Amino acid sequence: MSSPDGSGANARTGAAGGASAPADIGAYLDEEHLRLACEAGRLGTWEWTLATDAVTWSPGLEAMHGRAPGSFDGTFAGVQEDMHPEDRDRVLATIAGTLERGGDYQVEYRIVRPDGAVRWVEGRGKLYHDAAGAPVRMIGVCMDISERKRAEAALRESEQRFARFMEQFPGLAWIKDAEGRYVYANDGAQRAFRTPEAQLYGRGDDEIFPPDTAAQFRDNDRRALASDLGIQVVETMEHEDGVIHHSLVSKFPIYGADGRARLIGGMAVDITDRRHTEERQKLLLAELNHRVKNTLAIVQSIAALTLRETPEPTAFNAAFSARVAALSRAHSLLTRELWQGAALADIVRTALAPFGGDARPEAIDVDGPPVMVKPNAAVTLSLVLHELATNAAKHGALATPEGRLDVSWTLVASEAGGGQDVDLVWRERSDRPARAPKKQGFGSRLIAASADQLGGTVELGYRPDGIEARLRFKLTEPAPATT
Amino acid sequence: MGPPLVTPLDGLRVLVVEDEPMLSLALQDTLADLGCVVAGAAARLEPALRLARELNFDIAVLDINLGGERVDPVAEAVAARRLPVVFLTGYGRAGVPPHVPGQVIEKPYQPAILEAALGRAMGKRHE
Repeated sequence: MSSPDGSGANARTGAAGGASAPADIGAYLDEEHLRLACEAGRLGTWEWTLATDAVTWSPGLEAMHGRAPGSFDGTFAGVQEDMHPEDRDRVLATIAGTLERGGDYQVEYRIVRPDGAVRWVEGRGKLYHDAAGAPVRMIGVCMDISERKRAEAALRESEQRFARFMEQFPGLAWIKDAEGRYVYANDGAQRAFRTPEAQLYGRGDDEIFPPDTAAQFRDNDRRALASDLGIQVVETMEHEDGVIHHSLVSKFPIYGADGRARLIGGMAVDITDRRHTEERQKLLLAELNHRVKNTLAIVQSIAALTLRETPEPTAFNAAFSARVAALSRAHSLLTRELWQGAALADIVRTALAPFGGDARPEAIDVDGPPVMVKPNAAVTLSLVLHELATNAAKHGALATPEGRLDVSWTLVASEAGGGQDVDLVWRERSDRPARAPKKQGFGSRLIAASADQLGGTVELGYRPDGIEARLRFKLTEPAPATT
Repeated sequence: MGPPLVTPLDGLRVLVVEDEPMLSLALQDTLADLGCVVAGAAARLEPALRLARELNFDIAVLDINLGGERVDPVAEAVAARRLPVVFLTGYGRAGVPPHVPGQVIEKPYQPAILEAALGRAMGKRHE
């Protein structure tokens, strides 16, 4: 049926003829071979005689179109009828082009079967001309490619799913071949590598990264390839801003159908921030531990020193508790300032609060320029002020209704080493004259020792109208001493 | 027979370097209770260094951290005079100056711990 001159069998008459064998056994065998080949390959054949617009289909083609044998009407219009409306124009244009230019054509399109089922087919055709060069007929084959199309669509969908997945992955992902050349990198990886896919794919790490970085990646790739389940490592890479980033990286072999590792997969999550946070947390915990121990040591010292002065339990308890409370208030103040330091005015007011600073504000005047005090010095000052205030409340200005207390400070140039000193004056005024104690007590010892810590001096004046304490200490920390 | 493990501390002249006034005062009291003499006390690096070089003392008790500055130069000055050191630390043993051998006491501590450390430091010196 396939001879170019149109003598082939018509679908309606049957390719193999009746019960009697045809005269030409050679032609019969050819046809039989072709029929078998068509059935095996899901092929149909057709022939279109242009002058008469007669189209003949092989039985296989009718079956492919889901038609009952003989139901095809044998016209080109009938052929168009089965084409999917969305594909029809494209197929007709392809055929028209072949009619115009001659030669072969190949087109993939959908057909709609009478039952509504859509199938993908691939048509290939060839145009034949007469001796004068005018187109006479087309013959061709048609193949059902629905399975292939489905597989292709499934593959495309799978690839889209993978690409979408990788796009949204909050880390870097890439695939290299067994030689270490990139075959895939998600957007995150392309950004982090500062290399778009056009420059990345087909290249290895040594063409993209500095030698040390590339060597690190390559070594881990080798280990990943040699491993079954892959490896987890921390890799480092310098980013554009010069910061060394740490990433937790999974590298794993991807196997081909033959069971051999064809590719190396890699996924990385930047853990630089996490590491910084962890380091900071460790530092904070160590600092907290130190602070707690230091505070316990101070409380222990307060207990020992208080016990020496006031061994009587009730008196001890009162003095000790008040001093620990003063320490606690100083800590609250510092905590509010995140232990960066405290304003001198706040330190003074906090220390005086339990001694009428709140209840009798008119009795106490606090005045001075803004001064920030470092944490250790703030604690010491708080304890010193607590001792002065305790004494004032017992024997001095805060013990009488008419008593007045002025706490004021100024900034003065340091006598040595440059910078500024804080010159703080605690002045009590009342009708009670101040008298120097017979022996140095807790308060005066503490004040003297504090002057050492603060790098300053202290003077205690016992005036007829009350105590005048003068503390002078460095505003800024001294420069580290050299040896 | 070697020397006794703990030597009497009576009359031992001690240099005290501690930046926390409360701790320094309590330490000085404890030393006095043990029969020691506080030969000098400092709370800051510079005066401590001066005392370590010039003061007449037998042993130094040094706080590791002086208001943010490390006591190492003071420890080295004491060691240069071949005098023993007892370190006080609130940072654990990791913060102890690596080049100067010495007894280490972690704060807070009991007086008996200080007494034993002073005894061991003086005992080693006599070996």
